Amino acid sequence: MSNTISLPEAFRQSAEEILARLLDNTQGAYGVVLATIDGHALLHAARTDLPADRIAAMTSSLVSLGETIAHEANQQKCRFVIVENSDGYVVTLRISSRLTLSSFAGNDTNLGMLLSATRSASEALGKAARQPSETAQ
Amino acid sequence: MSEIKLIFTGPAGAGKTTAIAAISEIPPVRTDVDATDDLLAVKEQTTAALDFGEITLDDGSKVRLYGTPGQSRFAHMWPILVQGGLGLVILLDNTRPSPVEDLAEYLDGFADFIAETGAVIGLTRADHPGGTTIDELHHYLEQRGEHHPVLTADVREEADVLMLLNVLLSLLETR
Repeated sequence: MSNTISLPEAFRQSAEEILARLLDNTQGAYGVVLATIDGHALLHAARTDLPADRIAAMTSSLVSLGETIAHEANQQKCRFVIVENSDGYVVTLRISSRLTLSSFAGNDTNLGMLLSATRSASEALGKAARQPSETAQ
Repeated sequence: MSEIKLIFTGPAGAGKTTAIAAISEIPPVRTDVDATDDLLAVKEQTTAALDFGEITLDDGSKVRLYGTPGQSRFAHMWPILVQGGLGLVILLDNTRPSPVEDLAEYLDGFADFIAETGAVIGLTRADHPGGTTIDELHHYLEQRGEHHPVLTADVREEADVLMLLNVLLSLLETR
């Protein structure tokens, strides 16, 4: 099943640079996945083998659960879903109504730095997606 | 009083979310997200994690109702959601190209769970012209060597959804 979001070339190039920058500038980060809100992988960058398609679907479930739990708990606007494991972190956030960003790091990372870098990348991606020539929203 | 966990599954658009909403005593929990793929031809949103609802039986037992995502890329949720479950409702949409193939996918995907518990099959939009019949579904089950109740159901109707649950619960009592 193919998704309807196309990545215009200018946005794709910008996004690839943004993802690469996140990996290069964040200690411990080894993967990042840009996906649609309903779990289709659009772009990814990784230092290891990362099953981007499966991860995109799983992080879609995570984001939807995070937002639902926040609502049930009478809280507003889920910002991050953070999975802390014995040897690393998975952080996921919604960029826009249709896009999510997930980053993966070992436990040699600083969680605060990882969250900050992921948020900065998501803001840059959101800005790039809103450029007049872009259709990815 | 006891607690019972039942799971609704089936392809996207078959009516899982609708079925739970039709009978739940609590506002159902939904994890719908906007669809960005071919599903848009059928519906605007898709379940990304689960649906959840509750009903109370006449004897005071609580029945917890879980709906799985229908799209196969969310199949990672299936083994999570069936943990502790006592039975499965497979909803099939008779407007889809092949409800028999859909049935095969879910019988295969939940085979271990069904073997330990039980399943009932609900055919929605059963009067769709040129669609599959109950007899054809029974015939397919016979070919597989399986026997599960097959009913037609309008999952917008509380009575139809409760009928599916009653048949499933009766089946489980006789196992």
